Amino acid sequence: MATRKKVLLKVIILGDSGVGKTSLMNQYVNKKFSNQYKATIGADFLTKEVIVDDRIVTLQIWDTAGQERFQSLGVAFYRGADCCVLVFDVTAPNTFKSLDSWRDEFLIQASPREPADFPFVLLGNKVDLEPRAISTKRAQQWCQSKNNIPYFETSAKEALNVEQAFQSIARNALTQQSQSVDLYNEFPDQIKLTNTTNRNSNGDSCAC
Amino acid sequence: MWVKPQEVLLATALWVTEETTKYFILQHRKGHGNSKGLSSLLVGTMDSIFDSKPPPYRILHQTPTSEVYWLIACSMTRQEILKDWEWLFNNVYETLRTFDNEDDITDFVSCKIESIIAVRQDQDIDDEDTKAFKATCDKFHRLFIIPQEEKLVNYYSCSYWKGKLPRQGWLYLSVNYLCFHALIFGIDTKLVLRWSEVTELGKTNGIVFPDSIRIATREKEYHFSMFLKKNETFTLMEQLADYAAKRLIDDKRCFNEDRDLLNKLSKNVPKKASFLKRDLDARSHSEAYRLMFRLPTTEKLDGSIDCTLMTPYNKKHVNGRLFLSQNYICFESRVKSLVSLVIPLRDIKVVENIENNVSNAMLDKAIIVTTKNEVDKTNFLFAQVSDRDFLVRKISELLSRTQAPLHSFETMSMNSNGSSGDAQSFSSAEEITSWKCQPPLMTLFPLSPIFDVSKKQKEREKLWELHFNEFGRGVSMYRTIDIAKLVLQGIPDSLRMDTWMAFSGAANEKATYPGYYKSLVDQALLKQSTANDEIERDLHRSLPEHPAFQNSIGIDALRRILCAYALRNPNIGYCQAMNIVASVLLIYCGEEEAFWLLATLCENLLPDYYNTRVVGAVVDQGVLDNLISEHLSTLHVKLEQLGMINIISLSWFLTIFLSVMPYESAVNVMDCFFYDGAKVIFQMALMILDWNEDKLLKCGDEGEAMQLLSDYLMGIYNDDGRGAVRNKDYDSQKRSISIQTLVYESYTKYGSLTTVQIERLRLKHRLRVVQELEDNSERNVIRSVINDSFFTTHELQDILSVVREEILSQKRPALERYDPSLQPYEGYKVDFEYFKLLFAVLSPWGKGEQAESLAGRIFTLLDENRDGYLNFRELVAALGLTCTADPTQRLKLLFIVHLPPLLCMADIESPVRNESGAEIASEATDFFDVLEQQSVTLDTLSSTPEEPSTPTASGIQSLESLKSVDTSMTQQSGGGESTWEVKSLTNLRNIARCTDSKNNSKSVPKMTQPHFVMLWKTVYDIFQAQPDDQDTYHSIANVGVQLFQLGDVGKQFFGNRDESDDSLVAAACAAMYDPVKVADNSPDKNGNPSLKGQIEWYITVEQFLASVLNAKELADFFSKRTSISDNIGQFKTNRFNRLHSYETQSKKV
Repeated sequence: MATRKKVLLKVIILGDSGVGKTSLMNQYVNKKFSNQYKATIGADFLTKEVIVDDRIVTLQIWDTAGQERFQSLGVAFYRGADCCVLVFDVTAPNTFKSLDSWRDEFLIQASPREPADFPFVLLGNKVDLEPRAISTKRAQQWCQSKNNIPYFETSAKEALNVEQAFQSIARNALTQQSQSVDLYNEFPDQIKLTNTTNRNSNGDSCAC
Repeated sequence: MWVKPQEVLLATALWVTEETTKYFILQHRKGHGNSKGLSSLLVGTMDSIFDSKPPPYRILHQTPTSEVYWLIACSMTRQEILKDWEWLFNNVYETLRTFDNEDDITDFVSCKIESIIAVRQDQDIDDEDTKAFKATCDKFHRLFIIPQEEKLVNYYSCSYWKGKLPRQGWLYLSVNYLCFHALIFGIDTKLVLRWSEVTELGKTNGIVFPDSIRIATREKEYHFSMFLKKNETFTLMEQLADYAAKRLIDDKRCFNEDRDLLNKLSKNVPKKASFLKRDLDARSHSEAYRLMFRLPTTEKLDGSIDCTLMTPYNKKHVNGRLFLSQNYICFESRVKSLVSLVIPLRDIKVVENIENNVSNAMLDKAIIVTTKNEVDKTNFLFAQVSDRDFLVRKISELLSRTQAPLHSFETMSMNSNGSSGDAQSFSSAEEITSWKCQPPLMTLFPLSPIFDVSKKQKEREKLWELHFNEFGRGVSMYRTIDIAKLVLQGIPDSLRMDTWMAFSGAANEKATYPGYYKSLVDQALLKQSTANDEIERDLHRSLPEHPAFQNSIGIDALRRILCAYALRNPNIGYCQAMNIVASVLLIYCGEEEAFWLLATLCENLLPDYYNTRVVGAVVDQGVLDNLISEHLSTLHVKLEQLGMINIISLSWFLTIFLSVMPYESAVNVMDCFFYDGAKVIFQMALMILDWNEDKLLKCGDEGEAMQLLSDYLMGIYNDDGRGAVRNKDYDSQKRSISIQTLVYESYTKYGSLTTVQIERLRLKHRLRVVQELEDNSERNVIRSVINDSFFTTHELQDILSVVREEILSQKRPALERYDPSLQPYEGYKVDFEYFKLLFAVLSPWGKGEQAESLAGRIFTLLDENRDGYLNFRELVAALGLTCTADPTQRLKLLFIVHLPPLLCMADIESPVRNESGAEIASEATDFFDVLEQQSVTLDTLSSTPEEPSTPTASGIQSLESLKSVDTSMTQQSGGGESTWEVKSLTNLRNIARCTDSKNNSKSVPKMTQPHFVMLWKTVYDIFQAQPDDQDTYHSIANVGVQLFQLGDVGKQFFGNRDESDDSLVAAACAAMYDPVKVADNSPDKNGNPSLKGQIEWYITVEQFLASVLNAKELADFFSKRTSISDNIGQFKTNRFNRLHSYETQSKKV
């Protein structure tokens, strides 16, 4: 069996401050939860290799600062993203309300070619906590209104659904990447992107 | 007449040398005196063209090997210049021989001349601008039709490159504008630029535009050259553009003249062309002074004087300059960084002259400054003070003013509006909360001591003690290279607090405002605010690895300083990263000290870093980008490719490396940072990149590079640290480099970076960043209204640009522009005054005599929150509904604005409009006093009728009459629920904005006869402004008659009418007739008032629409899409005329 070439996928995690972006990322990558994380300033990132549909994929997960005033500085991190993960806290209604603004801002700043088709995944985090403020139904409705975004309810603390969510994230990102060769309009740095797509096509020709 | 020495590049051009000596040259200008050659004539002509007319005689100073000439004296008469020339020989020339070094000679001459000027200017202090300048001011205002309140700063002769042709003329620089005017062969060239539009400013020297100043805006580039004083002009331009940029960042910082500053500065500063120019110069001097000694931003330089300082540690007298400001005496040695000194006046006990001692010439004209420090009674001895008595007098004067520390906290609060109310409440708060300031948390939570480390710390403490004994301690220590060396090694934990406080200047703030922190905390903890919520969320995410923050002692202290700061400075509130910085400060410093250090850091050291748009940090990203490309050009290319610079630098800057390195290593960076200022961050950043250059160059993508850097940074270790990290996995960590080595290397390699250099780069990037932010917010605004689909993006941009122009020209604070909780379009608002103008120019309905009243009613209809402003979305709707909407919608609007409560009976009935309007207004105001101002929105309207922001004339009239109804109704219904007229207004607004005409036409109230008469008058009026056309008038008349008849038909159905919408109308009409009566006799349930017959006549909106649209001429008019962009173009060209007329108008009032 021919080994396929590695694929690099860039995933951006967005959401209000304190919804648990850093915890989710660390739970997924390092399989541990800590309440000793510092507030993320600027951005942080981790990588993880996963196998999706027989392919080895390197997920490059970017964790961003959540405070409103940093929202407009995201442009530096967003470029070349393959998937965007939106996170809210199911116990904090405000974090749900700002999802629209995070999504819009991402689409504006990253300007993917097909904004409507760009893969998003929504995570409702902290389901281990009571009381719930946002019902599953409400979150799902939002997802439907946004072109059927996949929705997962997670708990970074109890490692609930985190693995599944990121699997789906990786798959969506991968589908997206193989579907459209050129996700982005006119980016000054297409280096990374073209590299990966080249690898991608090489991989395909190998398999043939 | 002696002048402040200034460089002259070409000593011989245009001048004839009369006499030369080794160091001095006496010259007269060609065209003066006896010479009558051709070149003399030419110079004479030039002088008249350039309006330069310099004094014809001058003395230059030059050392034999130097290229540079210094102008030291000039005069109108030969006699006077010869006197100066003679004086030089008698007093200076001999002394010069004794110097070895030529630079010293120049320095000496400069000092000497400046001190003479200082003495002379003492005698004639004159703040008034010269007559010539005033004349130019007038010309400036006349030429460019700029309002009188716009202050001209200075004017320069230069040429402006229009196309490929330079036009010689005059450049006028005012506070908000750059203007140019040339008149050549009868062709006028005028140019007006607003500073806040400038995106780039630079000096260039290309082939096309030689030796010129380049100014770029979004749309265009401008080149100016042939300056007589290019550097002065450029510096002034930079300064003005920077003020404009800073104003965009923070509206409160708008430009105010500082007379206070000016009076103080009258000494030592040579007189310039304008009062403002001097003001600006004084500001920049003060800024440089504050930067040099890291003083608070409120410090204003009073003056400076040459002298020597006795340095006891080496028994020498150091040449240097003494600076004096309201709260400090500072000294800086002439030899760079040999020694500097900062003495807070608060610490000074007495300043005395020392009797001249013949035996010791070094102590000639000496003064001694004694501090209050009881223990070691520090004295500072300055000698060779040329103007000693004046200085001592001045210091005593300042001392008498600084004796008592300030106890009024309100002066301190940066939030001028609103804080005063809170201030009174804190006495009660004190009883509720009880807390005390924590000492440094490291003393409460000692980390398990590591023997080696403790020993090392002890040794270093000893070294520091020795140093303190010799050089003094605290703020007013002699700062020499020795202390710098010690700081570079890292300050011992136990001394960090005092040393940080001393170096950063926070010590002085703390001493000046005793009790301030406590009262601030008491207020802040009681407050509900977003900032406090945000802080709460981050308390446990600041320095979780330290035991102090795993427990309520540390967490509570952190909450207190962050909440207190958020209250102190609402421009910042709370920004993530401050929590990390603050928690580290708390480890090493007492709570109150930590607060003051945080304040100093946010306000002086890292200006604008943490504000709501993180402008300062973004600016510094740009600065770092520049520095990398300058110092590490290969790496720069690579980093740019990876898009890395902005990714890495944000956390480095915002947390001063605290979040990216182990904090015990990063505190060593803090040591240097408090000692040396923000340049340290750049230095470190460059060194870190430099160190990793090879590896970074090999990285394939940004992830790899990020990983590399973050591993490297986390591996930076500090063996002298107490070992918070060490307890866990310190030893197992990958070590990369010791912090001491890194700091040392950064100083060796990049220590030459200067604060001045950084400030310069910051200025350049600030212009760019601010404009980008503006562009961004404009894009957001346009995006937020584009879906209303009245206009195209391009048209919206045009409308926005005129609104923006208006906002900028106003002085009202527009802080809400960046309030993230509001919709983007809320930030751009227009008042009625401006709406009226826009309406008149842009809308096809804005041309007639009734236009103003029409505009007033449309304004009222669309001003949803009734604050007297239309936000951008409402403005777009107002213009769109009259310019581009489909004809049904436009006609519907026209119909609606002639319905009550928008058009009331008072309007219709009284022929003398203004009088009745005023009467009603006054009645309404009376009403309010009684009602204790129940309705807030209305109150704002009535309490400030003189403000230009509220609609005036007939606009006010309609608003006011609304109000009179409103109040009576409010009273009637007990004020609890919203009144009928608010409801009906909302109703009408929704109908007007709704595009689905079929569904909502039914809900439009019917119109009575008097209202219809008014409506038809308006229609006539609108068409009156259109080109004359018989057919049109014919059809207007026809349709009018037709509608009248239709209305009559309606009469018979009156009895059968249904439903409540009409009752609103009826009630409205009733209210118009007699508010008081209505208050007694409210209409019955069916809304059938017992009033006269007009009600019986009515037409519906469907009838109106159908009739009007049937007439081709009318339908055409209401269907035509108005090209708004052309009108805006026109509007812009006339804007100065408008400003002008605005001005004369307000004068009349």
